[in-house]
Amino acid sequence: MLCLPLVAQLQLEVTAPQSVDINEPYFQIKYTVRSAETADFRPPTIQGFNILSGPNTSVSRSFSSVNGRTKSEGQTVYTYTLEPTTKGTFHISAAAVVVGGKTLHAKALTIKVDGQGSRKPEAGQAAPSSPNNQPPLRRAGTAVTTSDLSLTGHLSPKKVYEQQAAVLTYEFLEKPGVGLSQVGLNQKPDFKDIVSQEVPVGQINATTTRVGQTLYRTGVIGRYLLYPQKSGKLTIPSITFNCTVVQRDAILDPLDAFFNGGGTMGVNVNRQTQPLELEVMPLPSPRPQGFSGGVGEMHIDGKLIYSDQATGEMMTYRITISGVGNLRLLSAPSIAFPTDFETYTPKVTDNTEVTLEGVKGQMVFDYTFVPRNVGHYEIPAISFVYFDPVVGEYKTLTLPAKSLDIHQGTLSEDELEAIRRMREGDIRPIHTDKSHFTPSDGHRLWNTVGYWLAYVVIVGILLLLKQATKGYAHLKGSVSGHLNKASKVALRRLKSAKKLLKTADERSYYSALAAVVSDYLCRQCGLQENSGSTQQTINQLREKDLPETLINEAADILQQCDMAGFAAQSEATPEKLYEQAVNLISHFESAYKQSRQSTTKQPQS
Amino acid sequence: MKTFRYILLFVSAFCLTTSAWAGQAQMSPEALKAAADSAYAGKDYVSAARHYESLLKKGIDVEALYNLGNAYYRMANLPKAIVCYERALRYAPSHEDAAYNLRACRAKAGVPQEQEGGMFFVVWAKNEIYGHSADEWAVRALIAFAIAGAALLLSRRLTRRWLRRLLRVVMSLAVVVLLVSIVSAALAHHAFTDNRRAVVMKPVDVTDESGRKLPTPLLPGQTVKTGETSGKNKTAITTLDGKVSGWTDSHCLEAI
Repeated sequence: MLCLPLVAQLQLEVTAPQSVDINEPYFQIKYTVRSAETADFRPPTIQGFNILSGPNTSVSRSFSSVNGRTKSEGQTVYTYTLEPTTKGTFHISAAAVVVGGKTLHAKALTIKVDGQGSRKPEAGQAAPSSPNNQPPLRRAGTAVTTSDLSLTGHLSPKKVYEQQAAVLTYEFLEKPGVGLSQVGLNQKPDFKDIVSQEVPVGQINATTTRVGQTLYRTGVIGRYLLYPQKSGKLTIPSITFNCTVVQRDAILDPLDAFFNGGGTMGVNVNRQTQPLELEVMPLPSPRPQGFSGGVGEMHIDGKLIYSDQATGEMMTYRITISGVGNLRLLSAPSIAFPTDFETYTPKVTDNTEVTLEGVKGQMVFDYTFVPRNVGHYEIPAISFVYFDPVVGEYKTLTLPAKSLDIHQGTLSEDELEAIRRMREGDIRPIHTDKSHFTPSDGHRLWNTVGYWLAYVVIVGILLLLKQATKGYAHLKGSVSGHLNKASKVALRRLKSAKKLLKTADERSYYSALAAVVSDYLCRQCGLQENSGSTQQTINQLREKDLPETLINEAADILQQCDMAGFAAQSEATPEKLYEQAVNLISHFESAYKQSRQSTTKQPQS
Repeated sequence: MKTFRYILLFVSAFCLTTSAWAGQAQMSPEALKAAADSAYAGKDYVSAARHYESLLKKGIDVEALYNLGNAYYRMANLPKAIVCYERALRYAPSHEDAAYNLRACRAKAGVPQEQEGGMFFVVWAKNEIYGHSADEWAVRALIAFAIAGAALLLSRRLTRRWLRRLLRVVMSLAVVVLLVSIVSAALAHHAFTDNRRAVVMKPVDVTDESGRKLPTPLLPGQTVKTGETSGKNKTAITTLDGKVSGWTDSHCLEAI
């Protein structure tokens, strides 16, 4: 629901200074009414002031919603920009406006103009423009004429020597309220026979100035340093700037303001500057021998940089040319280094900045050289000739000769050759393999929790392996030393037989155990394969040359297995029999090794 | 109609917000590197450098650092190239190509090469320790630990005496490698975090404590060890060979 303020509560308020200084460039009177729906503004009668602009109308609306109730507020402001012309007290009659069919009247005003001196009628007077004192913008659709907005260019100085810097400045001139917001170049200016360098302007700092009886805003929009490359009259062509002026869109919905840019709109206007002429004097002839081409005020300094005066050591002769002038156009001075020095193309470092005085700073020329042989050398004196446009004559600066006592260096010929190859060769190519990107700045692994956990994991794996091989170790531990194949097979079969205790009945276990022992004895002692009779096996064993204890031990195990298999109840437990079988293998193994040792010792004895 | 326009307003605001988020994560590191590599191959070194820089703003990629060094070299900016190679070697000291290109750029820039002085063994040990990153040493330590553990376990299981002796030797060696690797990783990590090196970007003088200019100025591309910084934008420096020590302008240095 929209609630409009009651017309009865509305007033046409006026704000204006009570007194104004005669030297103020302008001041403003504002008539404000809290309604956007106004009509028929009747302007006041203004005498004693020059109306620079007005009445400029500004309408604003705002919406707010509280507890579901939408409230709309509007405001209309009529602004006059006036210029005080003479001292005195002046009356401004009441203005009026119609709102909702009712005529609202503002108070009449009395403004006193005083101050020291009188109004300066001459052009060019400038005063800083305060952002809080900006005149209101014009309504959209208002034509921008060349008297409203124009661009000018001027040269300083207009007459220069060849290679001497001239400053080209472009300025804008606009009437208050035109609303120039942006200036851009349609295309880069083409300065023929001139080397140009742009001087950064930064933010446009506008001031007010009077041209004739009219007050204008003015500011620098672009500056160039021009270095003419030939003498004669050179023409700076006219260039076109693309200007954007901001105008107020009077009736604008808040949503339109959001989408279209806040109640104002930009209008593009092109402005062309007038061509300019630069008179360029030629440099005096004849030019001295060795003239560097430098024009300005310059100084030269030379310094040898080295860590050791030794063969193979890279050394640098640094020549610094400083001052103001066409420093960036200077080429490296030529130096006649001793012929057996290895020399490289001089490296130029530009430490200058573009200022209104010209290019200022220093150019550093680094001449790199490497002495190859031991001896006393001299880098000859260097003369630097430049032209000083202030006095209009050539000047010569001289750097004295530099002496060098080269001794034998520490680098070997191979090392020197390697460095020389690097200097003359290319670098290695880029790596186009997959990106190994990590968002962290540092090591990915070292000293992280994960890293130390990896040690714990390794320890865990080793413990598991230890546990997993424990059974095997137990078996092997019972039978010391290296096992022959028969023993290995027997031990493995014993282990398999033990599993029968869990999966099958004890009888199967005992018969399997007896079979393992019987087969082992057959293989180990070379017994004939029998039908599995225990007694037959024992008898065959007794025929062999074996210790009685071993035979008895084997017979005991086999008989116990037979007994347990038939009776199901036996004195021997399955585990005990298992242990006995392992021990039997161990004892047979020992006996076998002893017999082998005795047979190998016999031939020696 | 009004309601529709308000909805449009909110939808636009939502789209603006989401597009801002999307803009931040526009290109993945892989895509950025691929774009940079492609620009480099097309000799558009400025674009390549810009892509590599964008990638490196998001994190670390040693290969991108190395490639960025190459891009700066192609643009004849040797000091910047040296900074990139130094940084690449800081993260991956065993990067052979970065080490080679760094030496080549130093040779071309006419600045001293880095040379370790002292006894042969000390030089060799330093090169070995600091020639690998802490992570490389960390991996070696892990492998040595696993070998030592496995050798210990096997030596208790095997019965042949010569094998058991051999395993004990292997275990002892692995323990030595483990300890050396752990110490080296710690040293390499300390060298990485306590990084006090910078590259000289502009020709600049060195002054002593009293502000007097020293006869040997610094050259662009020269690597120096940095110390404390004074309030007057001055940084204490020492050249790599230790022959020149003094104060210089901080703005002429770029930390590695």
